[in-house]
Parts: sequence; structure tokens; C-alpha cells
Amino acid sequence: MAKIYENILQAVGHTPLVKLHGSVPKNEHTYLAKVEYFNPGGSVKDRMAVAIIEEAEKSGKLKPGGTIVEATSGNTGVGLAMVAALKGYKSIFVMPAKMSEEKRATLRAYGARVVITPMGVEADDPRSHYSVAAKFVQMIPGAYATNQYHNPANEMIHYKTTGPEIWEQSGGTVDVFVAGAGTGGTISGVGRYLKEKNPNVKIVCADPFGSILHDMFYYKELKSPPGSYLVEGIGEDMMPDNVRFEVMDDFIQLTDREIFSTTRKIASREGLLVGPSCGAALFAAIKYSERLKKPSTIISLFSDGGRAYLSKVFNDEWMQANNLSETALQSKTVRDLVDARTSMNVIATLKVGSLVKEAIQLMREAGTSVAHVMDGENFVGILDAQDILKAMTSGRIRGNEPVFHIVNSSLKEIESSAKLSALEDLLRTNSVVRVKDAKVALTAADLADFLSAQQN
Amino acid sequence: MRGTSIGSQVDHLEELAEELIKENPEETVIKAHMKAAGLRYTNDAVDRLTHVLNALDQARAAHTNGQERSHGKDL
Repeated sequence: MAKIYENILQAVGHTPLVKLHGSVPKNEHTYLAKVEYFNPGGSVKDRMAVAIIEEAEKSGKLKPGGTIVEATSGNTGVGLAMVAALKGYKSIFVMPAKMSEEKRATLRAYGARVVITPMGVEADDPRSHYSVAAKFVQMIPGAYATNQYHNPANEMIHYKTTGPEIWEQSGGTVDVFVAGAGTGGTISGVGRYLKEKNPNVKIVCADPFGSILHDMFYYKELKSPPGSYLVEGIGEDMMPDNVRFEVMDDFIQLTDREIFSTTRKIASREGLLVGPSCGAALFAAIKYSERLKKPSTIISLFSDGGRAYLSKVFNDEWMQANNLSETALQSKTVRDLVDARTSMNVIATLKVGSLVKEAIQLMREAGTSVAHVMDGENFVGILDAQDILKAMTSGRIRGNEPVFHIVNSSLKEIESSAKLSALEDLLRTNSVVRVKDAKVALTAADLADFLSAQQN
Repeated sequence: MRGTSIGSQVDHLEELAEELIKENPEETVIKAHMKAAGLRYTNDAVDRLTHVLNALDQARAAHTNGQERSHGKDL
């Protein structure tokens, strides 16, 4: 049977729900993503663009030949420009000068007029993109301000479409829904729907540090001043009407580095080229899942694709320039350190019957302050120069006595697959950590040596 | 726009933009600034606000690039 869309707007919505594998921890939870870049304009904002325009047509606020005006730089502009092109409306998008040429060109390609306003002016300054957009609405007869932040059609379309799709596609198994909030329309509309279907579903907002939403949710006032962040499209410095805290259960705050490194992981490990707000949603989902006591299905909203960010998150130079690249602590594993250390032959090994003075001599020759103590092939424990010193000065042991009296055999252990950041955590409170599956022990000096070599 | 330095063009465009976004802009002031900035006068309010803001963005970018290049020479 033929299935032909009457026009491209009918292709908006019904996006896939995809199971995640390589970018999520292997545990009892199921991590899914609602992948919104399948919309024809490339983002979740297409849903709102169609809804807002159709609502304005119904109410008579937008008439044939009218002009759509919005202060936007991103996905909303693309969605609205697409709708305007199809329906024959003129469109004007006002945006600050920091927006990339690619974004301006995309909107112009749909036939939109793009107006650039100066950067670094307050929202209420007459030169801001908000004020200039308002000026256009005032000047142009038949102009319609779509007003995505406060227009109720925004939240409503997600209540009517995105929420039901998620409920049906997951077979009603969704336990947690995670998304960022920019205008707030998506998380509020989806949250309202899912809560009506099952009040136990948790709605979690991924919020960048610097956004005011976290403080407004928990304290109803700002505890820290608004700050800047690099992730686009989520977080706010004002309260949009479409943010409905009553359907949200929790907020997870995120750094740009966490967001951007997760975004790259989604592309390289899932084959999903997504934008940074998706990295935010997934990182928050993983963080939130650590608190869950029973196996749960956690759905993250992947709001857009990554092609608009090739010169940013997917550009190594840009990542380094903005101090967002993963450090060796985050990217390297304990195995990398063990391999490097073994290749330098710095592991000193003692027999369990060795004398203390022999141990000191061996450590000096090996240039290390820690030695492994073995009983044949079996690892017994660790001898630390500091322990020798303490034992000798307190008179507990003498140089010609065997080391087994002071061997430390109750060590903290770590798997070789663990990240170096986990090793660093253990070394903050333990002088030595044993690598469980490599039968070696590591000290803070080993980690520092390795990190130093990585920087050279 | 020939014959004006980028710096003074930016100044004219800024003053012009400020006038255009006023509640009741003065047409004579607009005419004078458009002439000084080297822009063709039009009485279409939407067109001229669009052109002025975009010209201001380009002039500012050119001004900044010029400054960066001269700093580069000094080094």
C-alpha cells in the first residue's frame, strides 16, 4: 500500500526509540534514547514549530502572507523556517553575532531573512536580539511573534505527541525520563503525559552549571549567580512559562566537559551523531541511575543531530582551546599505567622471608619506595618504605628481621579496566592500591609519573 | 561605503542602529547617518533595520580582524 506524505510536515514526529550499548555502563538498567534528529528539520523543535504555526493560523493571529518573527539562533529557527517555506509565510530570525555562519546560512537557505544583533548586550537592551525581534513585530503589519519560551502550544505538542510516543514505544516500561530544559516545553509536556500514565515515572532535568533552573527548582531563588556555559539549547538565565517544575522530580547539574565528552562518546560508540544537549541528557541519566535501587528503564531525549556542531564538540582544536578535552585521568585506564610501569622495570619484588635491610637495599636499587612481597608465585602483600620507617623508629622491627612482620596484606584493590580517575580517588586515602587482575601495586608516585609522561 | 575608515563607519552604523530602534525614530537623522555610513537611503523600515544591523555586524568583524592583524605585526 502506498504511503506518501502530503507534505514534509507530516514527517514530523514518530522518531525512533533506540537502545544504547557502548556509551552506557554495563549494569542492571536499560538505557534508551528518543532520537529526535530524525525529524525533517533535524531536531525536536520541528514539533513545536508546526504546532505553534498551526495554532496561530487557527486563532487568526497568523494570516496568509504574514511574517513569522522569532529571536532564535538554532533549531527552532530551522523548524520555523521550514514551516514558513512550505506554507508561504515570510520569516525573520534575529540572532546575536556569535552564531556561526553555518546557522545563518541554513536559515537563509529556507528563504528566511536573518538579522544579526550585537553581542554582549542585556536581554532588555533595545539592541538585544529579543528587543530587535519585538521591534520587527511592531513594525511589520501581519507579523507574528512565535515566542517559543512562553507559547503554551510548545508544551502542549510534547504532551500530545512526544510523551505518548515514548509511552507506546517503551511498552509503558519507562521508569525515568531525562532531558534538558531550554524553553522547558519538551520536558514539561512529556513529563506531564508520562506522570498521568504512571505517577511513579521520574522526570529528571539535565541542567548545565550556570543555569538558574536548578536553584529555582530546589530553593525557589538563586543561590549562585547565573554563569556562562558552552552547551547550546539547554539551561536558562530567566524563567520561561513553559518550564513546569510540578512535573519534575530531580535536577542533575553538569559541567561542559562532562557534556561534551559524553556527546563524543555517543557518536563514536553508538553511531549516533548528536548535539551536546544529548550528551547532557545521557550523562545526567547515567548519574541519576547510580541512585536507583532496582533495574530500571531510563529514557534520554536526544534533541538534535551533531552536524551543526562539527566545528565545536567534534573539533579537537576547539575542544582543547576551550579546555574540554579529556585528561589522561578520564581517558586512560589502570592497565595503561601498569603497562607503562612494567616496561620501565621498576617493580621491586621481595620474598616473604627477605630481611628488612635487604628490602631497603632492593628499594634503593630499584628507585622505588614500594615492593611486592611474594611467597613463591603467590602475592602476599606490599612493603612500603614508610611502613619500614615507622616500624623501625617505634622499635617494632630491626634490620635483620624478616619483612613478613610488617607486610601490608589488606590493600584496597582496583580492576585494570578502571579509569585512572578511580585510581586517583583510592590513592587519596590509601598509600598503595593493588591492581586485582595484574598482581601489581601502585602508589601516588606511579600515577604522578605516568600523568607527567602523558603531558610531555 | 568607499572613502570612510572602518572605525568611523562602525560609529555611524551604531548611531544609525540606535536611532532606528527608537520608539519614534527621526527620519532626518536616519537620512544623515545613512549617507555618512555610505548606505543607500530607503524608507522601508524593515529593510533598513535589517541592512543596518547586518552591515554593522560585518563592519565590526572587519574592524576586529584588522585590529588582530595589526597586533600580529607588532609581535
